[in-house]
Amino acid sequence: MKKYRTKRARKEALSAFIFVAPFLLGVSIFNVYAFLKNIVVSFTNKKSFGEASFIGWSNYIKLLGDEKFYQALINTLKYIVICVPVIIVLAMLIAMALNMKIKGIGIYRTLIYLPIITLPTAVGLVWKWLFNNQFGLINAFLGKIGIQGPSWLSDSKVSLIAVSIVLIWSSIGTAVIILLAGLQGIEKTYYEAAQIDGANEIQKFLNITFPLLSPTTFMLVVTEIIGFFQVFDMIFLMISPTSSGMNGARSIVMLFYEEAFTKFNKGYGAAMANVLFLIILVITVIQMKLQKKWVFYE
Amino acid sequence: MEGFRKRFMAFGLSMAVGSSALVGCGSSGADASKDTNVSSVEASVTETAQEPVSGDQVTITFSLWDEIQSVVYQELIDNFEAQNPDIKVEMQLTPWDQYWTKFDAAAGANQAADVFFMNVWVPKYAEAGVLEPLDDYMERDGFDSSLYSSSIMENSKYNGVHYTVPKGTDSLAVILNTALFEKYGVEMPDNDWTWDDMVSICETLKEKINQAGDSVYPLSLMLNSTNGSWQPIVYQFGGTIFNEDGTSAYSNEKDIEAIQEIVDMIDAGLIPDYQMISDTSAEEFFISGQACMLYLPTFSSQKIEQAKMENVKLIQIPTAESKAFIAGNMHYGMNSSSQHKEEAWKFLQYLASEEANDIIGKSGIDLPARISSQTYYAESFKQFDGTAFVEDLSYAVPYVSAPASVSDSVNSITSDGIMNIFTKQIGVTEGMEKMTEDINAEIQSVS
Repeated sequence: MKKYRTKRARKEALSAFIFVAPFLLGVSIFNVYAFLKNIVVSFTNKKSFGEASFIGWSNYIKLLGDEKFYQALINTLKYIVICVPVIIVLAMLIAMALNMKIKGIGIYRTLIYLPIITLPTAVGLVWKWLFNNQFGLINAFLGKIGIQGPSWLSDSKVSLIAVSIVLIWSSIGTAVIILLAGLQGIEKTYYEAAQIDGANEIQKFLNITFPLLSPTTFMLVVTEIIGFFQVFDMIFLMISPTSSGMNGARSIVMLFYEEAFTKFNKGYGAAMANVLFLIILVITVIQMKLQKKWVFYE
Repeated sequence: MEGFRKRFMAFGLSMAVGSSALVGCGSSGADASKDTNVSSVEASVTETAQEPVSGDQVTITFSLWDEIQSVVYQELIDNFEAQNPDIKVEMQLTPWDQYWTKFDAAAGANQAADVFFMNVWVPKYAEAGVLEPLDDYMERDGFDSSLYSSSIMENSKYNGVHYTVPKGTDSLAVILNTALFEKYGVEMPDNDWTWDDMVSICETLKEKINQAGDSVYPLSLMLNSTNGSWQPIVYQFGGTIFNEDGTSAYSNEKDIEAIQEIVDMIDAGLIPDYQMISDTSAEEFFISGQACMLYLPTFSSQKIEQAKMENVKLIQIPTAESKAFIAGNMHYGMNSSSQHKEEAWKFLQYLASEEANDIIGKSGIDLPARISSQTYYAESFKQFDGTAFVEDLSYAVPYVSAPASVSDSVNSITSDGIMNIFTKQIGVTEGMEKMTEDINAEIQSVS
């Protein structure tokens, strides 16, 4: 207790602890405990019921030879490569547009954020019908302009694209809000100075906006990549397990769900989740190292 | 006091933040914590449901998967409660897609409902000790097995012990859109048609459809449903799913012949292919007038009935080598860790009673297990005569499944394997052989 010299300081520390206690409790039960338990489970042959026995590295060895796992890993990387750049670039353009002083800006900001507060289940089911190859609005529209639309969700060649479109549409709002906050944190005086020096809009963006926004952008890139490594809900909602489109759209977490909760191979599923965790960890550490090259802190 | 109030409010706020973080954990479900998450959520749900309502009254829980059926089961529960004022039954509805995921999680934590819907996976849950053996109860109270369809009673046993009370059975028939047959001027088949008749009718229809320039299919098959189309057809062609020695039979000649027949029909454009069925279900093709005929299992019959189609007619399935087909069936099980087994047994007895079976039959939700109630099912449909379902039931073969401990994996291998065949990722013979190999390897891994 050397740190807290006065009674007042101790009291403050206590109330700070009370503040974070509920959150800590949640994290320790649902994250820390579950994470540790999951490591244990991954070395067993646990099924739904009955005693599980330890089987060493068998689950991990099986995983290394599992074609479906590699397919799911490739699919997951495709989601990241397609969605993350599109979301960042698009969100930045939208954020800059929403940062202007135009009439009805509140309405536009609301509209952009609306998909975020819409129930994901509703989003998934509505898009599922929009993408239907027989009765879907999208193919009806494409038909009107003379294009034969694909079977978006049941053709494994395009199902990943279809899901990506919905993922981008439904999650871009958060990125926009965060970038907008970042933009509003940039002091006007920089732009005024640049104006006096005769800089044009592109120069202002490259030399002021982008560098000053880079910490925000970096944070977004890191969280979006982690988020897309864990992509699951839209795939689950839009493509049924027996659909011919599933092979082309199955992500690692989807495969994990099928293993752990459809086939009830919980030990194997746990091993898969741990490998996914390691992949995310490595990618995030690399990003942290690389940030020195492009992120600018004021 | 002011300081205290502020701090108290801050505490409340931090609680709110904490609980929203918990919600966040529960719904993200993408990380390593998922495993434990689900079971603890299920556990808390069941716990709240099990709280007794009043003094001496006992509450038992009853879980089921079918929303259409739940209305009728509420009626049955009301009747049962009226006859047994000291027992209250609480219904827990979970959609089919999540039923088994939730059930396994709850059962693993000894938190499953007291009484629940069970299907042909009796061996898995009997083996795991989730199902209460019922022989003692049945003997004590004189439960008469001969009143029920034998294929269902057969599937309610595991290692010779009864683990479930019979609920109902699947049956299979073919439904025709008579208006389309008239439009294309093709004569309608009747009960004693053969598979070859069916193929030639399909070909004639296809020709007429093409002449009219329509985009209609002669027939629609639920290719993505194991027991809705292709497994029954395998049996019609004299095939089986498992050999006598318990190994997979998919690579047998008859099985390959049956699947080849289906693939030929896909190739000839006589039925919508697997990809189309994935987007728009086989039933929807028929309901929307885009298919002249549909192989219709009883578990989908209410979809057709509720679509209120005029001009439909139900006939028996065609004879290939025979009309024999494999039929799934449904049961009611009792939780072996239930706190109220006597009350649960009373409810099970009521569900198997003539009164309950009659109500189920008349409502048309399920072809009841009790033989005397089955005619009510045939009469229950307003849009067509359901007699063919009951007639076809005499050809039904009891369901067979893989050894209990690998049944989930085998189901998964089967649905993946047949999808690869129907979507032309692999040839029929090659695909069936690969399926057989994979299933046998899985079975061997535990024996």
